[in-house]
Amino acid sequence: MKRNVSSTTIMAFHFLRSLLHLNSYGGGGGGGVSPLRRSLRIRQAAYTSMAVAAGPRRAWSTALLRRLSPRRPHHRRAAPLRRNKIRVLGEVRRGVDDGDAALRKVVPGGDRLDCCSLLEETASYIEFLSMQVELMQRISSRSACIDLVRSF
Amino acid sequence: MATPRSSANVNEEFFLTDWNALISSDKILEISGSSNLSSYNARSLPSNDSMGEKIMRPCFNNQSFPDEMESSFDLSAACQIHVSLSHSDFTLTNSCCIERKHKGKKRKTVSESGRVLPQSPSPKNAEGKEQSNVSPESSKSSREREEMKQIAEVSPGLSSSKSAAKQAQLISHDSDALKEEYIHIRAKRGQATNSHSLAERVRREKISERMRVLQNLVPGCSKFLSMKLAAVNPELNFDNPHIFPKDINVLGEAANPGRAPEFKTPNPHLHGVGQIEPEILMATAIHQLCSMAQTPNVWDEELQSAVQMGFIPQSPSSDG
Repeated sequence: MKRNVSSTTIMAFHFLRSLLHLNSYGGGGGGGVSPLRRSLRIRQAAYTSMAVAAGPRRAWSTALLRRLSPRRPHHRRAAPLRRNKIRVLGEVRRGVDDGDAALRKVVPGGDRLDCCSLLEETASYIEFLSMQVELMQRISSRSACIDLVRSF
Repeated sequence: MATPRSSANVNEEFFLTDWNALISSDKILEISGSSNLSSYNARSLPSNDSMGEKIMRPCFNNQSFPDEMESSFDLSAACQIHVSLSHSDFTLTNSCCIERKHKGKKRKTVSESGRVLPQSPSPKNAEGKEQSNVSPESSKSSREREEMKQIAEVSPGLSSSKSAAKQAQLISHDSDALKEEYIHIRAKRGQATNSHSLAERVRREKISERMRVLQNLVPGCSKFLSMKLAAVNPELNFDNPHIFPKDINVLGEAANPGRAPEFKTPNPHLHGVGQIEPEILMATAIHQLCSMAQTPNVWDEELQSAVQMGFIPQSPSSDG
């Protein structure tokens, strides 16, 4: 019997664990960590957990992970599938302007998607982004409460 | 058209191997700090859910966290966080799952798609019944049913006028589905049976369907788009008062004012392909995405103090 773990849970688990190990990474916490460095790492952890939770079915999650982690040289780049490539290049060649150029910039991996899957990926991306936002808000509110209590 | 089964399997294998490589890369291991993750993702996808559960439980029951951890939450509290989070209403995952099923179903054979049909729950309202009356049991009709359910699930709060419009649209949708089968069927009155226009119509329907999903996702979008949708699809009849978008700058009010719109102004001409005007929706989506993507960690007080110290170049409007 297989139970379904929701993607929210996967994201929360991954993110929290990476937050726990935030300071151990980077030379065993040598000295103090600048807030900028720490915030960048938090951001990376957040996006990584989001991409992991989304799974490899999504084009954006794969592209996001590829962007965040160092690329392996022996893996070939994921080119668009044949029919996608024909469609994408055909649209570029015909000069059809859909106004989705800006959307392709924002959605990771959007530049090699055709319009149809671009919209689909956008929908999933928005959904996971809102999940991430809610997760982080809850964490922050909880930690803020705990800090407040401890300060008394 | 390539054989559907083999291409699907090849894609899956490709994704899985690549995915495992990505997940188990060094950076992620360093960040997450354990090798459990690689084993977690090394299994095939359907079973990773159970693995996730197993990993979670020993981690959370352990309670042997390092004491030098300065972040003030513990994982038991975090358990409560994500448990409460999972209880929150994410019906949108359902819609996206159905989208996924709908997309994958194209690759299945007729028998398989016929099998999917009795498993799925009965359609919610009379729209499904209309559909079952008209169309025979074919792969296209089962796909239609999934689409209908997805539409019905994604937009539960439609007013009566809109649901009437949806019914009218679904009738036309249904006749389109019969034409989609690349066999020459008697065409609906006033519609061409040219294969090109058929393919275009199929593509247009796909895009409009995804537009609708996005519409429901992006808050405040349906008001702008209802007018445009009515302009493109003559079958739709919308009764509710819509706000006519004079200018795209109206969007500036919605999200934070710091973002300059990067998109072009929408051109009023419809393209030859006949797509629904995507500019305004995309503009709204981009706006929301930019505001969401650029500020994922508004919660971090240290980040705000960092801004104060000038580490992070931002607009000077933020305060500590």
